[in-house]
Amino acid sequence: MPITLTPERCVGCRLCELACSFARYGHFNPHQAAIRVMFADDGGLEVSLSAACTGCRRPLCAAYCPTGAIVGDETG
Amino acid sequence: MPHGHAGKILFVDLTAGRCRAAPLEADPDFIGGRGVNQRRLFDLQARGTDALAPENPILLAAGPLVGTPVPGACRLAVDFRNLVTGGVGSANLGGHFAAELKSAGFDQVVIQGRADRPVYLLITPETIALRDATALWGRNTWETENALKRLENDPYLKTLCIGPAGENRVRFACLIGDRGRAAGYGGSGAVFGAKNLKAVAVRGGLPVTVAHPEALGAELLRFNREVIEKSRFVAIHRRGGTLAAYLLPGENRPHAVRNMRAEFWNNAAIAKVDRAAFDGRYLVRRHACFACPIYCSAIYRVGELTCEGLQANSWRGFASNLGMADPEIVMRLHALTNLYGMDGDHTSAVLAWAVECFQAGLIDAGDTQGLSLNWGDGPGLLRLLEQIAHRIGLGAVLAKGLEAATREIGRGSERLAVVSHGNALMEAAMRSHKAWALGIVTSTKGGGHLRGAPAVEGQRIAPELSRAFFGIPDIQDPTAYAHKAALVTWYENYKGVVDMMGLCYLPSMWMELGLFTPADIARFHHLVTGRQRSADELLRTGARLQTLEHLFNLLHAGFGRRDARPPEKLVRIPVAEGPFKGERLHADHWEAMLDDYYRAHGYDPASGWPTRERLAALGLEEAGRRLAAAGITLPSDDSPGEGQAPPCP
Repeated sequence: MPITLTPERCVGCRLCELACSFARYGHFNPHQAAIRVMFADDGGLEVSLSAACTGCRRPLCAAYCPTGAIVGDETG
Repeated sequence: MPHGHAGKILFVDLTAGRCRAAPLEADPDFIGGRGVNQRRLFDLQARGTDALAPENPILLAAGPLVGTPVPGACRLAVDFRNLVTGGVGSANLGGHFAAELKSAGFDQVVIQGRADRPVYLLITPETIALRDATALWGRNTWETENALKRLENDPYLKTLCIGPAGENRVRFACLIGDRGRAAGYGGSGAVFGAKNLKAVAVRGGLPVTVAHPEALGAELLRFNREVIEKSRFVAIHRRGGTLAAYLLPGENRPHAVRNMRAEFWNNAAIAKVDRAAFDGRYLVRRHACFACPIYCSAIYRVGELTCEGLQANSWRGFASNLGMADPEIVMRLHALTNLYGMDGDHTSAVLAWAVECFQAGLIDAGDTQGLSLNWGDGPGLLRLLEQIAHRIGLGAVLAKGLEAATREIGRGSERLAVVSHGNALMEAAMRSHKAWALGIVTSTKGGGHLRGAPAVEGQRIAPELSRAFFGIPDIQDPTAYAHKAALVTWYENYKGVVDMMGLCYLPSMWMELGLFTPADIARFHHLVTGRQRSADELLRTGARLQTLEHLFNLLHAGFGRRDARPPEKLVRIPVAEGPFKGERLHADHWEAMLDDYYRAHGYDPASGWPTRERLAALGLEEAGRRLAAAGITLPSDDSPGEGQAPPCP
């Protein structure tokens, strides 16, 4: 896994979704991101990586994450 | 598609059940967000209509920075004719709705008409539809979003909806976005309710492109590293939002206490309901708006209720202003206000006024149908709040709004109400902080601290900084009147820019002078849209927007200088304790401040109306012609005090 997720640190800002689409396509579209944040009925949230995540060498999602919920793996 | 924009406007006619998309035309005079909403509202709103007339429009807009990672660029502007004042209705909410709307393909939504049954509006890149909402009617705002996700089988839907208060047309009902973000003042929820519109549900899928992607990417990383991460205010707000920033015991800050009769609440009471009391018992997790690295919000659960919040003004509203030192009751009052969809300030104001009237013997058990109203009485206040949302008993009177309630009750009860432009105020520090008070009273949306009232007043700001930004020598003494009008005027223009872009006030110069200077905003605006506008040009668009709103208020509500007097309670009753003991608003100093305020805007000090010359300088001649057609003569620089306006229809 090129990045490590710690979902309990996530606050749901979705900057990672913006970063991912920006890194891949040069524009901002959360719905094209390989990482997604979904808000649950009970107030919790879920973060998931899809198979589309190819593991950037310096993942922009990790650089944008303000809480350390996403950490890039330098060996990835 | 222009960079930073979706490129389309959606026009919705609920009466005919029709939706029509039209291309967006660039509007350099009003940029986006609140700006383009107010311009279109000015053109569309007929004069003299009933407050809830079907043809009255309500407009939603996402500014040009929304949908990008510019910090805090998430705000939705909501503009309409204010049900409480009759003038400008303008609210603003964070969360994720605005970015999702733009990704669904629209910068602005213009809603008119009235559906013949409850409906919701669905907007996705694939589908635009009005769908039956009968099964959703009666549900609270949290349940409504969850139910819509299930109905549409789409977990990524974001919603803007009303709860029972909007359905019941409570005059200060508001829209709630993302289950917990309120479009506070003015009655936007009742506007949706009267239109039989339960919700707007959006889900995106389309990209937002930017003019200079590489330069924007580099600037975002630099700005976050050098500005956001180094800000003291950001660090505090990450810990606990405005609850952490403003409500620590021992700080001896002014609050709104017991229906704004007092401003000092004792530390023993505050210690029972400080942030630790809420976070320790009810916090589910910290929560961020879209694209915001500050995450000042939180999700709480109290018993069977889940809600977003609780911030400083909701704390004041349901703790100090009600004399309430029980955290569970404060949490429940806040949660229910959000779940029913009501403006927290106005809700607190009517509850606190009712308690003070009861304590003073102006209303009795006959008026309250046996309910006893006391400071800090949880069960009684919770019951009265329920009665407001459902228009039962005394709640039906309070649901008409504070000023209307004082008229209905009479008996001198208006002397206990804090009202400006017909709107209820629930604010801290108005007696001590003079620019803050002036900004609250002159706010074009009928009062409140979200226009020109500067949160930096009283901070330790070096006079040379104050001179450089505001052109005035010193703003460190909150109790001084001198130069405060210039400060308020500057912030009115600046916050117009923030609102037009879709930015949030929190990471802005409203809070700390290093955050989002006009030059920062101009730079991000250029990198996103490709349009070159200087900081001064942007501030001028802010002045144009502010002036257009003054014209709307004159046209539809007849407002002018005589409506900008300080609330009488704040003149009559000084602060009794604490560091600002003895402070109050002096009527004569206030009048001098108003003179300065109108001159700083280039308006006529006698009437408080913009002059013909000011309109010409701001390119608002067309709006001036609309006023002339309504029989309103604006004053001229050569003939101050000679403006005339017949009574509003």
